[in-house]
Amino acid sequence: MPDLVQPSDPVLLERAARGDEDAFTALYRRRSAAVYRFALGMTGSREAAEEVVQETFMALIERPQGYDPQRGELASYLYGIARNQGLRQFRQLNPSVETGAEVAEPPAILDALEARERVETLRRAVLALPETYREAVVLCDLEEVSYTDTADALGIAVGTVRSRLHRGRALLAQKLVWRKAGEETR
Amino acid sequence: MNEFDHQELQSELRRLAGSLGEPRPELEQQLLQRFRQSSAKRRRPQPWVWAAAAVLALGVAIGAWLARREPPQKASPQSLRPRTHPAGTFLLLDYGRPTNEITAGRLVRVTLPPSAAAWFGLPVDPAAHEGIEADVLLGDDGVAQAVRFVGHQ
Repeated sequence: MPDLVQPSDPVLLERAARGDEDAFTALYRRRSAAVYRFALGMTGSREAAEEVVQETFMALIERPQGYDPQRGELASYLYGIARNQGLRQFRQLNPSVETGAEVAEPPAILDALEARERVETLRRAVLALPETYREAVVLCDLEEVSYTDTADALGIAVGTVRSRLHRGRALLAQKLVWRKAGEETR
Repeated sequence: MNEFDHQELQSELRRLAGSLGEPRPELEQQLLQRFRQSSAKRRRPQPWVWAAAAVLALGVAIGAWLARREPPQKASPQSLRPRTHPAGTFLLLDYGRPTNEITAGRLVRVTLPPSAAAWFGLPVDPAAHEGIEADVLLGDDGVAQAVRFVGHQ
């Protein structure tokens, strides 16, 4: 009978820090996608995002004592490391747009193209946001991380998360309104 | 001016989130490779550990040697010395294996107090306070086997 109780993140981290490869793999499989999406949302580059993922997990394993379970979830801690690891890249990279995954089973080719175009436009708009607003939008809106965990990850107060998110959404809406207006005047 | 309401924005953001995907599977293998290297590196003792082990082992060796000695009738610093050794040669420690049995080991350079050299019969200026450099031969089991005082006149 399979073991239905999965070890918690701190347990996996402790084992991985002792050299347990299976624990490290389990932790990676559990958390890497979220770190990757955060980094991709911030940089717009798949290559840079993968590098951030690698460096984040290596930093975690080389300094496991840096994580204190009393202070928050490991996921938030990982976002924090990813943010620090990728900060240089986030700033150096020119927001570039790469083709995302295909929209699954498009009802029609025109609908699919339009949907994809909308995603690309929004991706550009997110990448063009100032870094502080972008972090809040990527974590809260794209990754659906709670305000508390976002505040932990970014090292700011929950109120600051709310205000940055509000401002970020407003900027996005503004850009998208302009796009919509542009389409309608064509 | 067109409205772009919050609900519409959330819907677009969800669509964007769904397009972000996951890292390539090869990344896991690359990371595991680095994990193995890092684990092996962390398991390997650092140089300072070897140096500390050598100093400790030598201290224990000297202590053991002293405990086994019969106390001299009228001890003087000179008479406490077991025998005189030429500087620069390896001196086997009492519990060390014969040199022909040592097949693998590690040489660690340490700084010892002058009194350590005196116990091995090397002439030492009693007023000297500076440490003396010595090479300690650690066997593959981490036990000090021999010591050589370096540059001792």
